[in-house]
Amino acid sequence: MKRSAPAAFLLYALLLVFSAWYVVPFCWALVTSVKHPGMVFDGRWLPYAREGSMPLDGRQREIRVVEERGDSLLVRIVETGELRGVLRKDVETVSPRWSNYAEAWSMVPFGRYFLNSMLIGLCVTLGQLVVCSLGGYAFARLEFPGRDTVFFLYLATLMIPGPVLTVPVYLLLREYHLLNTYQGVVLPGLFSAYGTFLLRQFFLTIPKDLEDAARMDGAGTLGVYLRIILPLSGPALAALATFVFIGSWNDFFWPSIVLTDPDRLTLPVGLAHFNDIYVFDYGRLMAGSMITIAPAILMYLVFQRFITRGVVMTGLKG
Amino acid sequence: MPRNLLLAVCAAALLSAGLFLLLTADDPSRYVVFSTWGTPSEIAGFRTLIDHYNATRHPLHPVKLSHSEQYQYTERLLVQSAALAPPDIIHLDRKDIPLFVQKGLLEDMTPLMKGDSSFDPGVFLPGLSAGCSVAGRAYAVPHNFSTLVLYFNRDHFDAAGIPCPDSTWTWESLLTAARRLTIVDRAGNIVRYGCHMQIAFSTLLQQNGGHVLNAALDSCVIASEECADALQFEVDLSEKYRVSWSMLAQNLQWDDMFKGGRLSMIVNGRWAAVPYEQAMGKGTVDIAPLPRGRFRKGAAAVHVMAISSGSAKKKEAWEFVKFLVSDEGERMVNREGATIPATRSIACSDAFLRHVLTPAMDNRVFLEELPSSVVWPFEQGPYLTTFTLQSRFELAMRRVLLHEATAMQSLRGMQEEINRDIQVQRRVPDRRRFFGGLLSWCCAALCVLACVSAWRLLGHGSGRPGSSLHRRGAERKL
Repeated sequence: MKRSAPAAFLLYALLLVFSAWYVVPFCWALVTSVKHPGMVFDGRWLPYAREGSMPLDGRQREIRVVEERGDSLLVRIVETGELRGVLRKDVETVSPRWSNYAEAWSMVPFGRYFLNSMLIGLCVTLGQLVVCSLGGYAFARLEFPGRDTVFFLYLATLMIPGPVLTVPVYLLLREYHLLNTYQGVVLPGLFSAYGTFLLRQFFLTIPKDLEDAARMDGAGTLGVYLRIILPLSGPALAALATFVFIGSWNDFFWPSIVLTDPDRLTLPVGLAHFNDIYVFDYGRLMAGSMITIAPAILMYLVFQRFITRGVVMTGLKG
Repeated sequence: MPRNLLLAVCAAALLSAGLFLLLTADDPSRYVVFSTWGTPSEIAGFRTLIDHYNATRHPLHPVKLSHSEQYQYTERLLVQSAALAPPDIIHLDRKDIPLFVQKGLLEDMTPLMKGDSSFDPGVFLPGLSAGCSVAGRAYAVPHNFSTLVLYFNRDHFDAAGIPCPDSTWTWESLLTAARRLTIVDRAGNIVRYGCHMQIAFSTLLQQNGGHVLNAALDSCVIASEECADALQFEVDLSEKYRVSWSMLAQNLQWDDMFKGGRLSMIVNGRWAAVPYEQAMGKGTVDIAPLPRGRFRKGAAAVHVMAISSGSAKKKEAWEFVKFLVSDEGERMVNREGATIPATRSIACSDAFLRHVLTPAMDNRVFLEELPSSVVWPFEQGPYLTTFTLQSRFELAMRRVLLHEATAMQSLRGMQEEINRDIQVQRRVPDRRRFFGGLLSWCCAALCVLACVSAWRLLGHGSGRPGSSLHRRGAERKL
């Protein structure tokens, strides 16, 4: 059915408003990441510089803005300490402060955090692909008593809020000396009812005839799983991998509880160390945030098609 | 075969990841765990110090840093202790000591201090050790502190022709200067604010003669004329005189505005000195004592080192604590410039007074504020956390700002809520009481069971011929 022009206009306007809801904060963070200290809340979008050098009395002199007076500014000449009024346009220039990125990178061991996040993300992703695909295959294809009940119970774990499990899992990790280790972050992330459900739903769409044909050719259960089911499930596996990796990459809560050694922190947790309650450097923090989210955005752009398909397939978001 | 190759790569990746994870398994009993918070530069300071200690003292169990960001540090320590996995050494704010002692989480360090001739409790600046004891027992030693001071933009004062703040300043002087420093543009928008006092809000109450808690720290007494006047003054700065933005605005925005020259005066601690000097340029920013109210009161946050009562390596932890408060340790922490060393020998030396990162600042002001200082932000006692007090106070302030209540009404509401919180906390049973209570209930239940059995044995409730039960049974059969 073709929409009328006003309806389409309204729809797109509404969509634009909703997209702005998400895009504007991101743009603010991006612009702030190249702003000068003290210029974050100056009410302007572009990063202006209010100190530097300007020609005065026939010489280039270092100046610092002291006061705003409409179109003019009161500046202090650094060399002489003299206060002088100048025109705003002569002093203020659009000037991105790219050094925020270099400073953010050197303030904390970003390289180390990056590797930690990558290692944890890859382990969780690979592990979940193995565990969830095996579980999904069992629930989709294998016949055993109580299968649907077990699947229902497994699915019911989706209803348990994460924080409820925090203390029991923490105590369990303590018993096994896994606190402050990568394993402590990876192991609880390996099992996912969501991933199992997603793959089971996909496996159910694969014609059973293919499986029967493989069995007639002598393939066992594992053979069918490895040679028939997995190769046909590329899109579902890619969608799950993308969801899991992005989720693991951005996870803050669990790593912040389990990891205490500064060398083992992940990027989001390391980024939180920029915070101080009473002193705050927005420029560097946002530069660090941009560095942190870059891989997740890249991953999203590359696998966008699979993510969309994954959402459509299961009706669930990652 | 590409598919086999893919499988092989996946298997190899899984295997190597598994091996890596196994090899990095961590046994906390191998280390003495030192827990702290801080910005990257503070953490860098502590790491250098720990590396130096491990390299030069060769302890049996090396010290290991455990770090958390500041927002949730106390809560995290409480969770770790509840999970019986506390760190061995805890870097703590002095105001939290009563709470931790009440929960039995800190080791009584008195025997360690008395039994160690190499430890001299007199090395600390006067007043810092005071809050480290509860009921005459020492639970911590001071390590560093920060007093709150008034940071001001010297350029703004010069441009306005106003003398810079000094120790004679009162609330009136602050207000007068702030009104002259505030700039309003033609459209009526404020382009520069005069002052921001929000961090010192609890100190202002005490400067006016008020108190948040009583002397025993077990009841809130904030609903007084003195506190109401102080709260009204804070609200008036933004609502009446318009020299300060709404007190409800985020503190962090003010910090950025001060750095950007859109605010002339701000109260903050030593931790802000280096960032301000770096952002604003040498000589632009300087410090002065807090303006006084009816009384001269400063504010100090004192950070201490304590040993966890659950630690299995208390002696080794004590050795590291001694190293932390030694001249060598304090000098290393002082390098970052974010705090003030607690030991007199370093704090009163050029290493701090002419600190290389804040050379143009009169660092002596930080020390001069200490003798008159009260606990900042709140002396919270054993039943409250800073979060509880702070959030209640912000709520009270919000009510006044939104004209929902007068300052006095708002504080009365806050007092009632906090006293209710204290009552709730006091009712929380400790483990012994819980098990004692459980035992009593079990005994009572056994008594009831015994009584019922005896009653039935005596024939009252049994199914013997003639008894009521027997009759009912017979009726049912029929």
